[in-house]
Amino acid sequence: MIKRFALALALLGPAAISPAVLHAQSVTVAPPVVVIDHRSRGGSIDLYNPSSVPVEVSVSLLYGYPVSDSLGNVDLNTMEKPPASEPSAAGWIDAYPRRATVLPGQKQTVRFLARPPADLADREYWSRIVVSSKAAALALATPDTTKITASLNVEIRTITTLLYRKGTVSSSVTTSNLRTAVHGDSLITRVKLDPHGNAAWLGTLTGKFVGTDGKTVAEFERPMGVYHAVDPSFILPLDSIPPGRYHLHVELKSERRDLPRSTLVQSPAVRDSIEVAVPPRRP
Amino acid sequence: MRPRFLLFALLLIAAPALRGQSPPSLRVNVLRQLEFGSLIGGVDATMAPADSKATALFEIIGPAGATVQLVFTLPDQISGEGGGKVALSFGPQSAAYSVNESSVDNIPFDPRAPFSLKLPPNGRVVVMIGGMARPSRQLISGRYSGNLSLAVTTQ
Repeated sequence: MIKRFALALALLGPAAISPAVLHAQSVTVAPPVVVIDHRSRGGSIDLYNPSSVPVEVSVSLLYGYPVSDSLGNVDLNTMEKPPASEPSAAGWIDAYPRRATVLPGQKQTVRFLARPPADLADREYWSRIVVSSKAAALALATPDTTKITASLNVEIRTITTLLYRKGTVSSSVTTSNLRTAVHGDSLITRVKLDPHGNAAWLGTLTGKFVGTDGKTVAEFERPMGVYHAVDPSFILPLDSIPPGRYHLHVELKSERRDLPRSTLVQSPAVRDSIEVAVPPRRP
Repeated sequence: MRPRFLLFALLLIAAPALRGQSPPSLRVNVLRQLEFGSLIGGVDATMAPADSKATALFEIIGPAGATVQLVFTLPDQISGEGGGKVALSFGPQSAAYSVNESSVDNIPFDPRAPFSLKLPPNGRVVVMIGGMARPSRQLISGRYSGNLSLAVTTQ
């Protein structure tokens, strides 16, 4: 493989391996979570283009929520047509404008207007905001048609969260089946999380391995969004925890470093713990 | 004069705190497109994410500690203006990320599957992706291009 790569580089010559920086293409989406109240029925995001080239953006809404697979990997499960049992807001919220060209250094506000069904029940409804962006077409230099050149244009899809709240909303989370397992050179912690109430649970999960002397030897932390039951995994390098017996303490708090408190539905902290024996490393 | 100086001094002192209060946002910068450059018919061209200066380079800037999921949509071929095709392939180590924008400490990952990472305390991570172009011997000259998309999702 290395030989093949070296051969390719040698044949391609200096022009091919020189930095192929075209024009930085960029878009900033703020805020990453939009909360719309039923009384105002409106919200917005700002798209900012800090780059030196115009960026074409399109905005759409899509239903989706995080799910975990059998290994505990968390993925976004999206649905074009969610079943009626899902609290989707994607079908009745419109974005204005849906398409725009954002010039360098300029900001574009995209407004969301909700037209919910008249009989909408009190609860939180969910959607994802998809901002697709690509560099606007630029005039290309006349290509050298005697050569074969290849490149890939890039489209960026920034996917953020929209929450629509009607009436009183509440949220909490419970834990079950907290366990650990050693896989190769990793110590994997898993815990099942079940949301309760009529809103998604947004918060932070922390885990600490505490020795018999009361000292924390390793810890992990992850911002979480629990919309439906998930069973995520948290991986630590095995060599970060000396062999021995520990208490694993897991805590979930409705706090996020990346989100303002006003965005979060508050709930009491939840704690769980188990005893863990970390085996000696195999040579 | 003195009040103006005091105001200036106060603004200087307050500047870091004011910067810290900026609303959270998520930014994805495309620093570089994936360029296979000039190809030779019948010779595979591989761009490893760590080694090549022609790989696509993305910068993701968001709230410190936030988890972002990366999903690439990768083409299996690119098309030429004259109608020809060049096959592309991506492997388990075709992508990598770095919190220091360094080719030394980057961590490889498979761009063919969703991948999640946690933004470091400075909120910035650089993602690289390479791949392999497999031009056939009979390929006609010209410019070949295609589209690659990266979806960045916050949780």
